Amino acid sequence: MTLFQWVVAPLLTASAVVCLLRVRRGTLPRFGGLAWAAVWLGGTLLVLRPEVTTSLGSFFGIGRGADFVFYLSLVGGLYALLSLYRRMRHLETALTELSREQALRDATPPSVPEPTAGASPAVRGPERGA
Amino acid sequence: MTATAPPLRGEEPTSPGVRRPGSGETRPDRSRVWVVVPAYNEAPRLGQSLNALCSRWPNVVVVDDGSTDGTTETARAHAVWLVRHPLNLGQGAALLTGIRFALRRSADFIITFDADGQHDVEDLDALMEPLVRGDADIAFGSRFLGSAVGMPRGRRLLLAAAVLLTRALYGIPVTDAHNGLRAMTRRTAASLRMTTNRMEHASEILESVREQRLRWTEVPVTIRYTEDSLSKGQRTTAAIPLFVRLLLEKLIR
Repeated sequence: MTLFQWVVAPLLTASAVVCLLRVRRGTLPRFGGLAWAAVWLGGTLLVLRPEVTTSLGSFFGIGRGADFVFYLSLVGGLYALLSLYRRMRHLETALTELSREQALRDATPPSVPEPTAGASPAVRGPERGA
Repeated sequence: MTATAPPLRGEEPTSPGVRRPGSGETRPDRSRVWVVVPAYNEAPRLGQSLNALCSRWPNVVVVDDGSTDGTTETARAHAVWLVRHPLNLGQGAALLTGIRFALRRSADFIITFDADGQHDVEDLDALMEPLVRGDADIAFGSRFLGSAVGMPRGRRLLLAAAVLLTRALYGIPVTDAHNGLRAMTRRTAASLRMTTNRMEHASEILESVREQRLRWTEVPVTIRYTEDSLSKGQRTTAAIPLFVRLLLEKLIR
């Protein structure tokens, strides 16, 4: 085993074990916890047996296993980014609507009498700067 | 998005403006027109714009977009309605808030007018004319049909590029794609789809024009650039992230 495998494989396995323990304690939803455990265990397998990725990659017509994993993570990352952006926009829209409603509810009418026909423009107080 | 515009009031007359009998004049009944002025930290420039506006137009609403510089006080010193965003949301959001407000106040026509003193109040009547005649649903001010006083060369190039892009993307042959001075009918205002908060709204309005086949027209107006308004205004480089956001908006819709 290489140094990389010595370091990473136990970390991934530990993550999976933690997930399973938390599912048993009930601090993690069953489905999500099991799915994450599967991801970590899958990672452990790929680290310990890199040739699996190579055979997977060549099945899809990609020569090197590492390249296959790289492409996968790229797609996954882009998807995650877009999902996050979409959620952010939803939040922004909600915040805007909320602020807008509050602003419209608290609208204040003109405090000076409306100018009547022929009257001079309503100018009160000194203008700043200008 | 999910925002619901207030319902239109009953049957709309095709041309709600008042025609002066015998004169053939097509001046709007100004009490049925609302002028929306979005303002963010415009205290030094807002007063002048409001002085000019309030002397002639009875219904003005300033949408203070969370300013921190005394814009609120300046607005309060004038005969205008004041709507305050609790947060700074962006000019597009402020415009839509003002439009919603005007619709709730039963406006027949809505004019959007920038707070920074670049627009000329004298242009509003001409802008309203095609709407009052019933010839258009929305009228855009164009500084390229009219005049742009003191416009820096860089700005001219950028706007020319924006016009080309607008024509290519939306197929609408405008001469000025990003002018804050516009007038629209109540029906148009209620149907505008504006989902983004910042400066993308100009493009979004054009998109609404295309999608809903609105009758549009352009009216020559004067834009005055001053050092003051330029220092506050948009930086030229802001155009690129704006474009990216517009694209993203299409992707996630």
